[in-house]
Amino acid sequence: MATSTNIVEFPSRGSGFPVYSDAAISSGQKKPAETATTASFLDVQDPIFSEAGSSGSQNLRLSQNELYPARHAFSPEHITALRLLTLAVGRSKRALDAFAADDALIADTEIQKLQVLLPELFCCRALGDGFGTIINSFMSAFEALAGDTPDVGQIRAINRVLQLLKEKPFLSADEADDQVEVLENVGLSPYPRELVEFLSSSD
Amino acid sequence: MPEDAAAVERKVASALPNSAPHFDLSSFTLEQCVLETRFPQALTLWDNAGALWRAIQEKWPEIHLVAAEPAKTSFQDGKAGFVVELKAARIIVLDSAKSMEELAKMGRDFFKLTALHLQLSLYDRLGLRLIYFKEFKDREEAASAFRSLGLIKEPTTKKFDIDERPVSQQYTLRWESEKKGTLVTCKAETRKIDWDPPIESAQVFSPIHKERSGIVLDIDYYTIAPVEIGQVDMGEWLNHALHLVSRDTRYLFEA
Repeated sequence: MATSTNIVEFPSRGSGFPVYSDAAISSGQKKPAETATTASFLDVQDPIFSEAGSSGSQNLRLSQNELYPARHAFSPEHITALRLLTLAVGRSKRALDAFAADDALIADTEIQKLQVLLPELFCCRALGDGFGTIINSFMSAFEALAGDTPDVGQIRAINRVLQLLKEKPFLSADEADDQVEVLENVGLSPYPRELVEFLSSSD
Repeated sequence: MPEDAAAVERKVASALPNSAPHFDLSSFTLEQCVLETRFPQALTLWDNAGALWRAIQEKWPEIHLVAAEPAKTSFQDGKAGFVVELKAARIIVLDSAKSMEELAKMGRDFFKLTALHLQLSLYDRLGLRLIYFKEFKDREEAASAFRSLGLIKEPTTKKFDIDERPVSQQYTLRWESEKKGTLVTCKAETRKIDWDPPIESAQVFSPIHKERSGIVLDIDYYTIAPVEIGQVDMGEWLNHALHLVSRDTRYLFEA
């Protein structure tokens, strides 16, 4: 059974003022599970029931659209990032389809179109350090390719990382590092050229 | 209560509406706003509570410790409270002490730090609870105002051998899907404060004997399906939740 978000409840035992509502709640008396609340945010009295703990909901996940359903409530960075990431995922998918159809020219065009989205995506890095890290690694990877088209395995990895970023734009820097490794593992160079040069010069 | 304060109290009471003209959410005051996350038991609270609160205190130096127990730690800044427990974290703001913009920013930083220090990967539940209050002159006025909303059907004839019409009405609806839910409660309520100061401080404080009647609107908007930490920015989620609440509670006042 669902419980409610915990509040500071009347009567507030922490205040020292006995305030009684006509619901006849006496100090310390527990309410039914439906309205289980802490009597004061200072007290540890009522167990917190997690309605998400039922086995039926464990396999479900909320998507970005379900979590953020109000179009007018988006921050500019968030909505821009989602729009551009949708485009980028689509373009990487079309590049993969083109490779599957042996059309390297279309694949290359789609990848170039994907690449031009990155600077604007980088402007959305206020979403979090993780977001900035991944977009930065894409930019570095494309710079290192120096105009060459990534191979199928690399585009597949790019597509996967873009999809993950679209679903989890607020990911942490640690999670982002894992994704940077995914790009590195397929032979892309996701680190800024200056950093690579600096590290190799210090060896 | 000092005499002048009591006079002010009486004036306020006499200025309260005698009838129940049309009203909507804008005429309510936001008494309490709670932004909460719940997560699988985070035993790292026992290791990292100090580091977590030090990081939070770097952002808001004015907060001070209220309670620190193994299962629960809480800090406070005036009418804003911050709580981190083994399975939940929340920000509580009373009497609109912080604007929603401030709360969104606080929520973004507070929950990000909590997830980082407690090494969370999943939220079981996100919740936003808003409790509004609109005061009326007395219990009957509150009941009459509630009646004017047309939310429930009351018997018009004498019942239980009582001539008077019902008071303290309550209306509750819950919407729930597999992924999200909302609980809306609207009720006419009378609150009584009866407080006498301890004898040693009776010279400083006056007794308070007061009754407040009004309508309480309590809205709890929450998620049911788990969400991954990387999906959530609590400031952003709060803005979306507020938008839905203000849009979809209008029906309560459309009678």
